[in-house]
Amino acid sequence: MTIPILETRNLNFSYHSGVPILNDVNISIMKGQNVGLVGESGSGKSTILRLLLGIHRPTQGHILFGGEELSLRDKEQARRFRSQVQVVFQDPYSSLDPRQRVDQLIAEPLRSLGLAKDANPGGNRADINKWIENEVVEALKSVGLPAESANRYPDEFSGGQRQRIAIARAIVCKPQVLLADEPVSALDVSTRVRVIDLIAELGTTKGLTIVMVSHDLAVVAALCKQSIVLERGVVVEQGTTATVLGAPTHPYTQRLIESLPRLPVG
Amino acid sequence: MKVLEVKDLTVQSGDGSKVVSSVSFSVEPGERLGLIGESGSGKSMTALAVMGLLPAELKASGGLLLGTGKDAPRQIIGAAEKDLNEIRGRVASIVFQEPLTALDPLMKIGRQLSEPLRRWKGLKGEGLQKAIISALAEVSINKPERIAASYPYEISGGERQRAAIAMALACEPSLLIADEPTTALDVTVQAEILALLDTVVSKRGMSLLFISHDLAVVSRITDHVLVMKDGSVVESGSLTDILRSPQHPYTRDLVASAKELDNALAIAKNSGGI
Repeated sequence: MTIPILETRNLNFSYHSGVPILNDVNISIMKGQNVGLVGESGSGKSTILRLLLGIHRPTQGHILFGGEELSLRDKEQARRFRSQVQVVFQDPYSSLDPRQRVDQLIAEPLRSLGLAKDANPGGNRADINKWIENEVVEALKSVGLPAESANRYPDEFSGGQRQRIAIARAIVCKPQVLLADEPVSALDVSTRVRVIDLIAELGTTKGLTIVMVSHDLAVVAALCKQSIVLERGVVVEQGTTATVLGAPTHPYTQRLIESLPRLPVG
Repeated sequence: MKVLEVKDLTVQSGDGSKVVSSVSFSVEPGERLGLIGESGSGKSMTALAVMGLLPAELKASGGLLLGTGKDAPRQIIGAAEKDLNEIRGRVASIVFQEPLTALDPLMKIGRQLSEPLRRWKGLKGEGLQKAIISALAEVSINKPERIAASYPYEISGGERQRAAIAMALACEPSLLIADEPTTALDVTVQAEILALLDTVVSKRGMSLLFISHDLAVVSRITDHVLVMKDGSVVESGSLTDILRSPQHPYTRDLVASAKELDNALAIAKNSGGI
């Protein structure tokens, strides 16, 4: 049996108040299978993502990274984890430091995870900087931004372009998994479609597995083969997106799908 | 007589740049019009201009006539605040995207709702209380007494938006402007609010100006739309026609994007259906 890249077992989470946010969540992220975490506000979908990122620790239960318990106290594992699992947030206006140039933003994971040094054993500072510069330009190219973008600041870009920068920052260290929290919700419809296409393309060309949190089933349908539906911290349905959308069994999923605004036929 | 007539409306900022340029359209009594556009298209600024609520640094020019459809319409641009106060709420009212910021956080819902009722209907005491409860009941709020006694932060997003709609309807306006009224809400709540707007507007025979970036959402409310881009109207007509054969390049892009997402849903749905 193949080992999931990320897995949660009997995952429970609550804040100090003790109110349960997540209740016995069991999900597996397999290589190459994009997963959509679907739910409305308060469903716990973003909390799962934060747990998978190691930002929160489970109150009970386990998170496994490549079969081993995720423990960010383990420095060696933490470094491996951070270079393998990257994130893109919803709002590209708040997720990019406005005082850093785009090249600094994108290069950050390469420097902080020590990847630049690893790739250039014995290299001097100039070699390392040269290498970083190449990687940054490469990342910019793969998200469809010109190399000159590197010298500019986030406020010089539109929302869609900023989200491309955030994606470039996430993929620059060649991760296996991209966790995306409502990555296109803050964008206009036409920009949204282009960013979805970009994420889909990167999934194929870079061998990225995408785990996306979204309230929008259309976006999930466009990107993810697998879907997990959450309602108030409980997984109520999971399976292929086609089955979840086409033949939902849980009343909540049925209501969610009935509520989707659709274009008129004709 | 028209409820709203917009003639050559231009909204300019201090540096002379136009956020709305030469926009013209009109709304008949009982008519519903959808205003479609993405961020920066000027759709919300058009709505604010109609209500006389533009930020001080923006100047409107052109014609903006609002009326009940019965008496003579009044010019909004350049009108005194005193006159605008008579128009707002009674002739036209607006529901905003985010009910959390539209409502006063320090005032209970019941009290916020009592203001327009007291001012325009002269109600007080028990009569006022009854009017508050029935206004909340009209927007399908389950326990109107509980909501009336709650602060905005104590109730859900859907309940807040219903309360905001109740306030907008309180003085029985001829025109309701809804500016992305469901964008901040969950999908299931969105469906409920759209159904509510549809019912209330029909029941009261009101005109509706519905602003949204989402073609599918607009299609639930009206078939008659204007498409805005960079402050100008680029296309108008029936939504069915626009979806079938969009003329302007921008509309084509917008329709293609919306269809791509809708198709993704349809394909997934059909392939999984049993």
